[in-house]
Amino acid sequence: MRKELATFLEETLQDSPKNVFLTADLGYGVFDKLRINYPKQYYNVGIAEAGMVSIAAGLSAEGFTPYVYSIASFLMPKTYEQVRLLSIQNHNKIILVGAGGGLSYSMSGPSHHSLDDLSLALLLPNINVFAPSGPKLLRDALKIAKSSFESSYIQIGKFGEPNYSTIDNPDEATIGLISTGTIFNDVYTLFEKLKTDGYKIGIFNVYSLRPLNENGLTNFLQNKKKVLVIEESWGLLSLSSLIYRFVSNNNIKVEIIRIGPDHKIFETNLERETNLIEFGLTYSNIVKSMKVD
Amino acid sequence: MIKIWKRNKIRAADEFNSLSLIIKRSLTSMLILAHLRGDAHVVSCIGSVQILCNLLKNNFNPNVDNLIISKGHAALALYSTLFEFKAISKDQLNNFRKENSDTGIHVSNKHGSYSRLSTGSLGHGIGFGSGIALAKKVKNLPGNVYVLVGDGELNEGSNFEALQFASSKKLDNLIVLVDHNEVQSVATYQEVSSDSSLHKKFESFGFKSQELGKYKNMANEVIDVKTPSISPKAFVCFTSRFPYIPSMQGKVLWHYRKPDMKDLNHAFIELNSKESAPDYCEWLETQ
Repeated sequence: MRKELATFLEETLQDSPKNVFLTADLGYGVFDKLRINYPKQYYNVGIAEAGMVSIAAGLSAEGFTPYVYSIASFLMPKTYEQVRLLSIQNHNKIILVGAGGGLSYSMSGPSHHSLDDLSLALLLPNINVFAPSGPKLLRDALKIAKSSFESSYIQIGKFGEPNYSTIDNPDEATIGLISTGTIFNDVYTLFEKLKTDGYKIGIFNVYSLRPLNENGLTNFLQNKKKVLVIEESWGLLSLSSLIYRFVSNNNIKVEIIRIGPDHKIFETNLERETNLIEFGLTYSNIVKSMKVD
Repeated sequence: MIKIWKRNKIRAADEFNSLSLIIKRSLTSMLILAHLRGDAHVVSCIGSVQILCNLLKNNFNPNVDNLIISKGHAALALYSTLFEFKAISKDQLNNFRKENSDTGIHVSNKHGSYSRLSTGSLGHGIGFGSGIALAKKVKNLPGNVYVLVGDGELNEGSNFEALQFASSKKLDNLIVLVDHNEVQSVATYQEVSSDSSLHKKFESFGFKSQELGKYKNMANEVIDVKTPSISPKAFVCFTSRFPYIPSMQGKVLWHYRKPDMKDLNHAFIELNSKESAPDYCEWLETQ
């Protein structure tokens, strides 16, 4: 996804000198073309995430569209107040991109785990929140963010994510899988196995958490008896809570099961895949959770 | 211990300084509204009025310059100064701390180039100002970006992230004005922040720094932004030294306290308000 981000940014910086990119001394090798070809639009502000957002807000106030980049675990948590005051409350549009969402950097330890970035962004009003699972959806998110009047937070993965279908919903499917972000790809792999094994299920990718694709969600939830919401966030204000609220507000009769990390720190150094297994993203657990009483 | 000079020695010469008069008038209206409405952060405003009056009289051009009040709690200092320079109406000033007014307890971004940022939370102005200053450079636009910060506010680490950036990008159109009033919210600056020199801190970050008001009335100081420099500039303004209202300057008590009539009358004597701002004193009597 970072490659796609770099490509999009190159096009965007070429589009207009008012589009600028700021990094907090991260993205080694990824943004070299921007640095070399657009020196007046590329700024490495140093290891200073909060400062980066403040400077971006000032640029935005002067008519620029700043894209700011850091690792997801450092971006929203370190700059929450700058985003709230300088961008949201003062109406200065910024596009924030946090790389390595969820447990992408699982082995780097808890400082690099990003299980709260989407929640922090969702906590704020007047900001779009995206968690694309692959390059194509990232480009869609960036296009929406670029044309929107409001700020955006986009959580991305690392490298090599596929472009799976965002929806597969056979008429006879009474069980649904809903997911977002990089973990959608893991869910999709299981979904294909389940389908091959004859299970009648559907899958839906909520890559835009705000604005929520309400029509798409309503159609997907029709005739569903049970939905498994699978996420790589702590789950207090995240995909699962959005789905719970959507179902409740619209009086949709469907059972919801959340599969995701507990609200705890992952102290031990485990590979991401091991952590996913630990919080229940396995074939057998999905099959077990799919059973309708 | 904060040094406040002996008043009598310098008073006579000072009376004839027109900027000094503007400062006294702004301080008088500030005190009246602080008395009527409260939540003014009086001691913070006393320092900031001195800096803002000097800036608006000698330097600031609203058509090309930008001002950011990073110490947003000194909002009333901005309003009383803007009124003196006819940049806001009497109604706006009088609406301080009233519901739905654009002159609230903390500064809002509703005053054009005189206030580019709504603040209140501290430590945001220099970073935001650096962004504006950078934009001006890129667009090759004239004018300076002035950021008023408090000395206590410089406790916030975010300032130093911004200083590094401004210095590395040689934002010579960024001017940081420090209201070094030597008091913080609940203790003196020295108690909380040590007595290390702010001037040296700015210099060490690559700013061209200068101390003002240490030995002179701020009204007689020059905020020299015209001398060419390739660095951003900082002016550390000692605003508690010259005795405008010595009963309040340098007193932690006056960060939060609302002045009563007795306090006000005492301050008016110190300010010579009955002569410098008789119209405001008359207005107070109608309230």
